[in-house]
Amino acid sequence: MKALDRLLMRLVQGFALIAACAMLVMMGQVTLDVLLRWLANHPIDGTLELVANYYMVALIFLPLGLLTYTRDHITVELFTRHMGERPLAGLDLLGNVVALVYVGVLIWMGALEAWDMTLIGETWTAGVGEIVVWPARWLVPAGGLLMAALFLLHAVDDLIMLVAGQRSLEPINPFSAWDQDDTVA
Amino acid sequence: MTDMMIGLSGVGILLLLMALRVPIAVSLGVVSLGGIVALRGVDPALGMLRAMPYEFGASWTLSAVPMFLLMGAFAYHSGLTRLLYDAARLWLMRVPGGLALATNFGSAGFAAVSGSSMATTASMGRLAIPEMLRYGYDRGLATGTVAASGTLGALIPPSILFIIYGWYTEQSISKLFLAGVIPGLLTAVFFASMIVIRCWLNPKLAPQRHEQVSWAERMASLRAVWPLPLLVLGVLGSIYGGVASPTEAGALGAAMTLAIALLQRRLPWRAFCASLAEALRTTASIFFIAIGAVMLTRFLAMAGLSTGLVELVTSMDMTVAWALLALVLVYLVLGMFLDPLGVMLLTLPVFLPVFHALNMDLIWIGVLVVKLIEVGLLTPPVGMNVYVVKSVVGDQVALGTVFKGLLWFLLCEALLLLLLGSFPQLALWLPNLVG
Amino acid sequence: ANLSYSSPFPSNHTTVAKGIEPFAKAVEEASGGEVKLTVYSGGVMAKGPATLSTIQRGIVDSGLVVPAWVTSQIPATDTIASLMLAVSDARVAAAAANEYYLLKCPECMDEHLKHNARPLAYYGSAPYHFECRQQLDGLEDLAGKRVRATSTPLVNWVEQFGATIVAVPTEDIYQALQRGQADCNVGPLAYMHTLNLKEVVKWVSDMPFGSYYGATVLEVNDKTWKKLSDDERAVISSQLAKLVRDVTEGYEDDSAKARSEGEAAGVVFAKPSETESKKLADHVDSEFRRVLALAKERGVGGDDPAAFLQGFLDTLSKWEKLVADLDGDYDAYQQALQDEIFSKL
Ligand code: NA
Ligand code: NA
Repeated sequence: MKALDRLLMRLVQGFALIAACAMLVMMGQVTLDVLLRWLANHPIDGTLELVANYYMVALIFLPLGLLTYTRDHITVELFTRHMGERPLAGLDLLGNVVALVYVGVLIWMGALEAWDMTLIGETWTAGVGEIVVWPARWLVPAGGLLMAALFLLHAVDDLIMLVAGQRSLEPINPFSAWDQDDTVA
Repeated sequence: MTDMMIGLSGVGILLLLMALRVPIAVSLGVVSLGGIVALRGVDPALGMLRAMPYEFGASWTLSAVPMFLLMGAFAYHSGLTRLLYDAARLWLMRVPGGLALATNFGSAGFAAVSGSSMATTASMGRLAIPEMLRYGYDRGLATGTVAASGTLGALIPPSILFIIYGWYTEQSISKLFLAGVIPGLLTAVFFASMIVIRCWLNPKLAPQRHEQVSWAERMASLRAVWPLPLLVLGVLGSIYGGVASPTEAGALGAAMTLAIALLQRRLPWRAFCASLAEALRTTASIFFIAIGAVMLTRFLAMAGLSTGLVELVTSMDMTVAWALLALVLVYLVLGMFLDPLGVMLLTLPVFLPVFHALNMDLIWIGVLVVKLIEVGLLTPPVGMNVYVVKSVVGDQVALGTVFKGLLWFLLCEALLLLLLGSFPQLALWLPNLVG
Repeated sequence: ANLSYSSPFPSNHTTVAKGIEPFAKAVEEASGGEVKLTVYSGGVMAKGPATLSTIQRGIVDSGLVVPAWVTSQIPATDTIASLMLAVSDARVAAAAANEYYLLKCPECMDEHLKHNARPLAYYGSAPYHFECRQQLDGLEDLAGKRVRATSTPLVNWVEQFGATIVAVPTEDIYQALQRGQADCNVGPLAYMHTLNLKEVVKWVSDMPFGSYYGATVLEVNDKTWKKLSDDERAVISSQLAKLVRDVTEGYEDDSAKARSEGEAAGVVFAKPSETESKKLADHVDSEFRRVLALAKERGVGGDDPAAFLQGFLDTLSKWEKLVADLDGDYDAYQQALQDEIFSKL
């Protein structure tokens, strides 16, 4: 369990790193595009298409693992506030299984679509020509797969808690190194 | 079962799943998936999930969402929020309820660099609540002020809700930004007046502090917040000066905030990484929910619930006043339970045709919608801003206390809604003036 | 039968308000309530690029498909549509597109059917104009200006003048022109009205260029289509000529209305000089070579891509004459569409 947890954590960090790069590059390129257009009348060709088809997709789908790893999906806590730890683990097990079903379909369909688009070599007609977009389609199932692996791991952890009354994963946040504050929802 | 019945059962199951702590994004998605299977079969349901998530995310207009989140995260982690709060505190100390007032205006200031209510609430809450509790402020007042004034984050530009509303309804985002300014400031003033009056009538709510502060200290605190006006000027100035579109202004704002923080040496490596992680996590969370909401929109449309409602409304010879009343009621009810983005994406496809049919100004409606969503962030049982506050205070304050503390703020909100509904000019004057 | 229809355009778009909505009513009446069409506009069911796959998978039964957004799926259709600068009259474009795509280009039909989607009717958009925030002395003044244009044919034409292309989403055009982020927009005259550009535009070049005719105004899931009874199909088919006419007439009405609104607001509509007209004609010739290269690159048009393209241009010429003879009579136009195209399906 713990070894798997550590492995997934590495993957989560790797994916989040790529997403962080996408976010910073997006910020830099759009800023540069604006400044060059304003000062030199010479925008960077294809900025709009790159932002939409690559950076945005990377920074939305790759951090899904991060979101799941730190259990930061938004949930309604109101009706379950006063429940004990073990019954809560039961509910969380339900939540993780339902999530696995949904994300499973999402990955499966996302992969089929990405495969189809790869076969036809999907391109988008941009103002300045055509850009290849099919590789970005794979970011959806990739981010989803990591999220699903974590849902599965958490489901097993919840099951152990429900049955044995003890968690097998440590409730620590391994992101303390680069995430010192509480989450901002 | 008729399609309509399937739609209604779907809504029921959705509420049940959410109550059982299934993540909101997952509840939305799985119910819609099942609903579409029931309505149209397995293939169409699966087909819906093939291209939609990618194509929803691959949006130029929505790229402003992560950028404004990043801007707010940089501003918080570089300490700008603390400087703002400190300045407001030093200036407002002598007024009844001074710390609550400082929180209120600190939030208004932070709203000008943050695109999200919950981010504003969390940032201000981490600073202001411990401070107020230390000085013996009433718990309800302390937490309520933070939760309520956090909603300014979405009314005062930049605002992620305005970006998404404008994207969906094809309204100018820069006009929406301007339209939010006066209602946002008015809200801050209403809250402030209410706080002062209450604390003046009942000094126990907010014990006076006896601390000597020199004018020199006050001026110094004011000078320390110089990045704020610069950033406001950078973002709004670039939009209204023809340099950047509202979408591009997000990137510009984030880059400027980063540059200032680095120049001031206020953003060490850890804080920089924390900002990135925070912006990424929030972005992924918002979009994952939105994908579920898009699915639900399609499911409800297929079930005929949306068209059914429009037909009902149009058959009743609806007037503008009635449409507004319906808008308010629907948002209040849904806002009690649902997440703000979900409410908006859920209701706009239903309401938009009605507004079009009645020829209502969609910029003004946008302000009302955002205001109503913000109210929903404060109402029980599901009030996202209240949850954020609760996550900051932990066990020190009970959830019921926070909701109770919000009663007076909700009264202000009711007055503001009445004003905004009766005088569209409050929203429209500024955008019309600038053009 | 109760069919659903998905449009990426908002409910007030010409193709929806003046095309498919009246069409839905007409079909329902003509079938005595048997055939109903539920219209979902504004991309509620599918954003533009996903419409084709949404129809393919039966999520909706029908919709409006724009090939420029799905070039990889329907390359032949998009290649023909890339010749858009060759026509600047919506009536001619719509008629020629329907005749060529539906009757004379099996390759175009097949690539749609391969995606389980059957095109029933195409439309032609209103032609494009340069709409600028400042007075120009002529199109040569575009040199160094920032011009907003989408789609490769329009961008190529704008670049002939040495302008800088800027990317601005439709909803931002007004602000971009007002603030000078863009100096000119390439768009239909209707934008004067729908986007209120008459407030920020001072000068319009009165030389229309290009009508986009590659998009279907009605395309149905082929399986659904085959499941309909003969009577139901006949009712739908009987209204297609009127549908194409209504959209086309709607576009012309919108343009005329926008023009008079613009003139009332003081917008200058500048007649093109002879040099400008000649430049456009020359450019259209060079476009043929570009699109031919594109066809070869994509491997569309069979053994003879040149004949494949020329076939469309010939159909255009045929309709140019026919439409000129009609002299603006829309009933006659509808009848011609029926006789020449839709009766032969
Ligand atoms: Na804000
Ligand atoms: Na609520």
